[in-house]
Amino acid sequence: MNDDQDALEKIRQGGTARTEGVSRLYRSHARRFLAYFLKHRVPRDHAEDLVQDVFVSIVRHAAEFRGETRIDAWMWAIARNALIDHFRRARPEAPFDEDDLVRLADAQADPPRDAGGGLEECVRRAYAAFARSHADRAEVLARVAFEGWSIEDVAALLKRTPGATREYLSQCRKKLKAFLEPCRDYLAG
Amino acid sequence: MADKDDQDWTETLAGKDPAGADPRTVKEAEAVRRAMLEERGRETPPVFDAESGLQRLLFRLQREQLGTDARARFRHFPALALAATVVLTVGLVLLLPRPEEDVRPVTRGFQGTQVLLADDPRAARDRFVQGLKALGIEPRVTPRGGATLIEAPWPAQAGQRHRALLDAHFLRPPEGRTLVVEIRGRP
Repeated sequence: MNDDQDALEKIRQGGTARTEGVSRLYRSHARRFLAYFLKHRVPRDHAEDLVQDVFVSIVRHAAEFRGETRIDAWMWAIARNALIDHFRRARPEAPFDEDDLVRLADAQADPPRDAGGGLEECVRRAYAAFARSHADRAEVLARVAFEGWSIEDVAALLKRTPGATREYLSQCRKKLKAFLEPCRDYLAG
Repeated sequence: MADKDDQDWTETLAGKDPAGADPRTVKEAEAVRRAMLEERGRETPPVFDAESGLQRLLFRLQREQLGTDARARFRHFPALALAATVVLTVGLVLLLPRPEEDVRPVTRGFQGTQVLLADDPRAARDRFVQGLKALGIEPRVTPRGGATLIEAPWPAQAGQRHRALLDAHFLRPPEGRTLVVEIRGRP
């Protein structure tokens, strides 16, 4: 059982154990949730409120987590839902769903055109621009690249089937490719 | 459509070595992985007071009857535990569950800003703003710390619907031509 699972188990117990569990999870994850909301251009005070909302949801739904996915995927799905709810409240006149979170970024994307600096610098610049424009996609790629998330874990986050998730990752690659265009000669060499 | 090349790209991004992968795909994915690592190293985490946020969370969980014991955080600090107990006792008396949202105004400020205290300030804000818009009033909504300031032009000849909106939120008509309301969470 890892630290997060242990903390969640304490949350389920209630009382002083719950306090300890909440405290541990909060200290481990709250800053990253805040950074996630800020990257999606949520105003600071709203972002802090969303962090609170995420942990309240974690406590409310702790008993429902059955271990079908990794626990951080479950928590990040809660954070993502909080973000979508935030955008829904900001635009009550228009429906807003999971796909809109992705489309919002895709519509604003502006790939760079500068090819200088060699392969490493070119790709770094391209990826940085991609991450600014596609915060949601960059977040998913980071989970896959560095945190060992499987297709099933990403599927749980995105609430898609594994097949649709593979397609989502394929689209992430395509979107990134547009940003890598200036680096094409370095990558071909 | 996702294919083997995309799969190989994703696996290489994850630091794996997929069999039969196109060398150009591997080169691209490895370069992106290095770039991602570099970006992670450059990222500045947001300034964040974790303990203050945690404190706020624990009291909110207590208020929403989600069963934390905020006093337990202070079990090694008797004086703080006593203070926390007093705060909790007073807070629980003030925050007993009500069947409906209770938004009672407190008037302050030389410009007659009316303050609404709400259990769910965001929901109260949304309802109030929707009510104003239904009257054809476009309010200015400004976040102010943890609260929201709402400034709405108020007609000289306010009708029954305007009065009904004010009554529903326990507000008085403004003295001038601007209704100023601050909505904040109940302490």
